[in-house]
Amino acid sequence: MKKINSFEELEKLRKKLKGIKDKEKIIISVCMETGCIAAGSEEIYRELRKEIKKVKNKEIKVIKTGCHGFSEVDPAIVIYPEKIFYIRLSPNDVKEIIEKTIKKGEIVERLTYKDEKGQIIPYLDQIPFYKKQKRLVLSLNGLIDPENIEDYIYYGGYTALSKVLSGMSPEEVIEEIKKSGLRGRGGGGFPTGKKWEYCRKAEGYPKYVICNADEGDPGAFMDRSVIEGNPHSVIEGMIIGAYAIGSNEGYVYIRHEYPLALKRLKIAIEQAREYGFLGENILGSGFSFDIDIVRGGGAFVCGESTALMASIEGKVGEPRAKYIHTVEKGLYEKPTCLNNVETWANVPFIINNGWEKFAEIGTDTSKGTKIFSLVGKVKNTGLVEVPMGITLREIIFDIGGGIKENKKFKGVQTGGPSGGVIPEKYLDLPVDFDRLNEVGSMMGSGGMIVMDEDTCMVDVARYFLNFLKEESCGKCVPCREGINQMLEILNRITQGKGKKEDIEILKEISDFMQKASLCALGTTAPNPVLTTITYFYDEYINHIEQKKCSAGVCKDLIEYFVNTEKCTGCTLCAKNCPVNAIEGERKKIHKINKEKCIKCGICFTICKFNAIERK
Amino acid sequence: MKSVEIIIDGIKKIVPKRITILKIAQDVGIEIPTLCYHSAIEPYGACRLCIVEIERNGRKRYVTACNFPVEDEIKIETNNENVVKIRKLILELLIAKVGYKGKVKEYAEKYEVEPRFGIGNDDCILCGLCVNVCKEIIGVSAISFSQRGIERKVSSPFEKEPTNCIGCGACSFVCPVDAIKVEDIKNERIIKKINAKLELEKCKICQKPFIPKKLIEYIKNKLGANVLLDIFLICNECKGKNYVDKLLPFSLTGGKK
Repeated sequence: MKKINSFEELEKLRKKLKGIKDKEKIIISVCMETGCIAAGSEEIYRELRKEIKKVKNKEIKVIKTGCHGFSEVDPAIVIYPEKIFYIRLSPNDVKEIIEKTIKKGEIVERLTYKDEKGQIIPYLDQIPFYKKQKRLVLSLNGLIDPENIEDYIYYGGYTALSKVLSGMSPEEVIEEIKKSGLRGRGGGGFPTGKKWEYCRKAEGYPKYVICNADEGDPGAFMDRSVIEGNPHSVIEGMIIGAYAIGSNEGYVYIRHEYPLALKRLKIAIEQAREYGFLGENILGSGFSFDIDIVRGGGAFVCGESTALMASIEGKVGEPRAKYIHTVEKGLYEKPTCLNNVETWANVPFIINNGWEKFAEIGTDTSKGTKIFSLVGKVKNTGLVEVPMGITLREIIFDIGGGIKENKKFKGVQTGGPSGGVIPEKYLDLPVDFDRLNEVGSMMGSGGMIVMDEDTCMVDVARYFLNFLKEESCGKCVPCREGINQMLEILNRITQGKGKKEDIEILKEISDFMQKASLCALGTTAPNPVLTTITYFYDEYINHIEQKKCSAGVCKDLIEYFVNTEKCTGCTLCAKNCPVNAIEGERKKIHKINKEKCIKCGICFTICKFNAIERK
Repeated sequence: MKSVEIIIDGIKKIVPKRITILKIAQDVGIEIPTLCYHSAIEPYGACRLCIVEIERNGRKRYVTACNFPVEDEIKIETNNENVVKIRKLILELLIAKVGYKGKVKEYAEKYEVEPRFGIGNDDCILCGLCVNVCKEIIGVSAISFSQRGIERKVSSPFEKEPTNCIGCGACSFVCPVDAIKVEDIKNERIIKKINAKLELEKCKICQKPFIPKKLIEYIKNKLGANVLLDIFLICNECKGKNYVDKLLPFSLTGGKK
């Protein structure tokens, strides 16, 4: 491919692509994102390619795309233009799909999504999981091949860049972003336009732009999916941002654990260079900009901006004071504008459609959409993009389909390990930056872990604190020693050794860490502890005073025993006990040896007669 | 506007912009406790003991005095109830780690801190002074932090003998809890904490081994000449004894008699 040297040449290419692509009447898109590949989508893709070849029809195309988001039903395919959605496929299903759907236009009912009542829903847009979503950032996920820049260009890619470079001043770009109300999607929620403006006005050269792709929250995969599904949207956003602040050098800092995202990003950057969107004199505008990739080493704290910059510089990845902001003194002590993957990916939409279109979505203080990775005890797990202001109830019960096995909802953890657990009484809370803060949690980067009645909230606090203990860099005393002391207390409580004064000490250390820690990891680390104490106080008391874990999670506080009336002596539990703690002959009542029992709960789960009980 | 008016503990003062609160306090004669701060080294902001309360536009927040640059009119409280509460908890947590040692002991007594979380027995409070003096002042970065979180420690690379170490002992000198011991045993300098072992050169006068050979090389490189070099080859004891009659002419000639 020849480098594109002007705005006219870009439009010419788009026209040419239109001529080619419009001939593709049927597109079968196979989701090939990390999660989908793990579910077996690669085999489906291979089989489809093999079978389609036999059909010998150039109007049918099979492409591998980023994630459609509905992880629960992977591997899945979407057949365009009708958007027929086939789920939980195996390679054996492919022949039938070709014979019936591709050749005759019939729906293969057994492969479609079925709702609660068993009603068949063959089309993607009609599935409840998608109905309440609003896909701006993810609009092309599942529609384009992320490894082919021409797919992106065909669907209007790089028009925003073209618009900016051909007729907008940097100040105008900043004004547009400011008016749109876009706020940082990495969790802080700082107004993006303001950040760009400060960085533009800061003295010093060179200036840098950075894309933070060090997504480390447990259970979060928003940024990974954006990069794996549509890497050019991030690159285009970064080029526009660089133009706005006056930077010619950019970095993407991507976490080590994302090999596929890295691969696609590399391909995308190479292709963007080849086509002239990166490098010298972009589209003949005189503006030059290029991007380097830096891989993280696996430390959670490197998602913190100053630690991330230290890591890029080759130093130990630990935060420093931000009293002088990074827009003024960031990477190599130069003005630096760092934004999260999702923030950058929002930029092309705003430029293309105007700030008004973006600002009309959302609440007063939070505009646009937000991507969440909806995980945990919810029926429809996956990646969802929703308008700001949607309620938690809509996300969890309408999109997510409610709690698995129809159990009772207990809480939802937003904002990753530094967020908080939100209880049932706030389910109708509109999701935006400020409202989540008000109830002690935060937006964070978009992790959303749903918990059911079987979740012990003390254990949840302990789990997240343990994660943070592993990930604290250890530089400052409050975070390093504070987390450690809090964790010891929580361990004690879950072991039934808690004291009455422990709750007050937990609160005291929390308050201290919020005030005295060096970086946001330390100041937000107490959130899971504080929110669980506030909303699930009784559970703490239960652990401390009654030495009971009502959810049946804390091993030291539970006991398994055989209900002698229900036991049939089938021996199933005894056979499956990993430590041979269950004694009993066939057709006689069994008994659990408490000395040997490790409380793994296998007998409890496996018994067909509910004869094993937990106390 | 290159300067700004602030109030520190009730005292009004006009200070240059971007001066740190700690420097202002020192000028005014207010004592703020520090563990990881040294006037010769860039503030590191790790121990958080120098935390103070500032008020700007009616909003209060807590910042570390050692590295907070004053930008505008603020009110600073260096020793109020809230600040003392934070400092006490820092000290309690440090006592849980290292017990009563060096400056931690000093401050623990001053702030009347009880060992609420136990008395620990580690040697190091991870203030980073040793690491930073080695990097910034000596310029060799022989030691650094390894591991993270509660496992964090000062160590030589891969806990092997640090090849860059010149045995100067600056790390030991700045340590507020005396965690780094430097011992000269026969013709070797041993700094156990950082796995350093360095061959010593003998004193030109008394023949007692006293200075690491690598340190002589380092000084040579720093000075870029042999002038005054011999003064470094005479141990402190001999310098004292022989200064006037022997050493002075000895040095001025650059070692040539």
